[in-house]
Amino acid sequence: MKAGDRLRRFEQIVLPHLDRAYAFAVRLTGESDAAHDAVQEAYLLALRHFDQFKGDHSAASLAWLLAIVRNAAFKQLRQRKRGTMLSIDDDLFAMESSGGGLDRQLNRPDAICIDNDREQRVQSALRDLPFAYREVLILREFEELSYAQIAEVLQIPAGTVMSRLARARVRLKAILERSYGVTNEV
Amino acid sequence: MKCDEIHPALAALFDDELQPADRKLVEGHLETCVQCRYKLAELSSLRRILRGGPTLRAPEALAKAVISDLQAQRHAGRGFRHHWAAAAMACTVLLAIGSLALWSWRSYDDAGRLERHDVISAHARSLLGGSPIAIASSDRHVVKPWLTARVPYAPAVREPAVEGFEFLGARIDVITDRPVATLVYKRRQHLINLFVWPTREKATTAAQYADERGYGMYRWVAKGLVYYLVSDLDAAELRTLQVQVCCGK
Repeated sequence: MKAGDRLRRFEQIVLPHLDRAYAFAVRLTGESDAAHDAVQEAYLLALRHFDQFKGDHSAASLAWLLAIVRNAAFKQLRQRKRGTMLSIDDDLFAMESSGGGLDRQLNRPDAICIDNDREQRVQSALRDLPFAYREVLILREFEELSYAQIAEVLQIPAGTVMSRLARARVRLKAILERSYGVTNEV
Repeated sequence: MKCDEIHPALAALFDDELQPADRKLVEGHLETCVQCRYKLAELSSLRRILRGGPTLRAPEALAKAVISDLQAQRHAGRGFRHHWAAAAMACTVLLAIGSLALWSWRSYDDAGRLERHDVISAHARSLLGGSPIAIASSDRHVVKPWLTARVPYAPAVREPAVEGFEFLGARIDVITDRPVATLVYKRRQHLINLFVWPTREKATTAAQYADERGYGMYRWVAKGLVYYLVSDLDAAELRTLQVQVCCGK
């Protein structure tokens, strides 16, 4: 295939997942800078290895792309932990949230701080999870991937996805309860 | 059926991953068991908390960066001829990003300016003098030991995987009064030098672009080493190599 055709196909199939790739990376790293770098690197890698993607439509490429994003994000986290740049209390969601739910927030002025507060709790709880639990939980709860797709992204058996997801949920619930008592809304 | 047997299947039911037969079984149990219904409600409550937030979208800066990276690849590929318009657009975007980076770089101290001046001078010297390489090899397993025997640190040596870029070898330069490892690459007739030396800066930084005296350069810091990639190639082509040598395998 000609280089130009290949790139055009890549742009049609893989580029549309940019928002989801970024959302995944932000939740995984807890940092917008790390997520930015991870996604940028992942896209270059994805293009370079595009021949390895066997599917022919956009939906199938999501799991393939997220697997690359996952590795890039992991690498970013490791690099940044070694340096001094890692800001644990990154006020990430206060900055990022203005785009998504602005209309809804404007209708209820008091909701702005409630939403940010809630997001920060969720994000901080996710950060407290071990990486292996965090990634499986994000893929299921935020990216809404099936067990089979998660198994593909993480390169683990579907049975392991189930058991790891179960442990991740128990752990996250415990963290949320311990810190804020917020899961009592049933 | 006992609750202990049902519990593992509750999550699968909740995630819509059960076969119809199993689904009926579990749902039948739920009608009679308040404890399992509570478990299921807990799962749904956790999901509500997690999903309550705003939808995250990629910032515009990221979208631009990814698109210009892709355009740079197109530029590097043979399909370029058919995509002048797209390439021109990418160049405009890159120029905007580049000038932003340059603007932020301007605020660097004098030491930084001196450093860049010396880097450009070393690059210009390599273009004038006889051979720009002291060891000619495209094999990093040859070049790396050669370098580490001459400078007291080990720079990352990476061969570019993108077609059109050649890895020629290495030499030692003197920049700001110290020996510096220099890796040499080539694209068409353009020589590209990658200067590497130790720095006190601890944090890993993303590559920043600047141009000076007609040369373009990317500077980044990784693992206690500062890297300068310099050439008269345009920013997009240089960026293609930068990504290869900084983050490749």
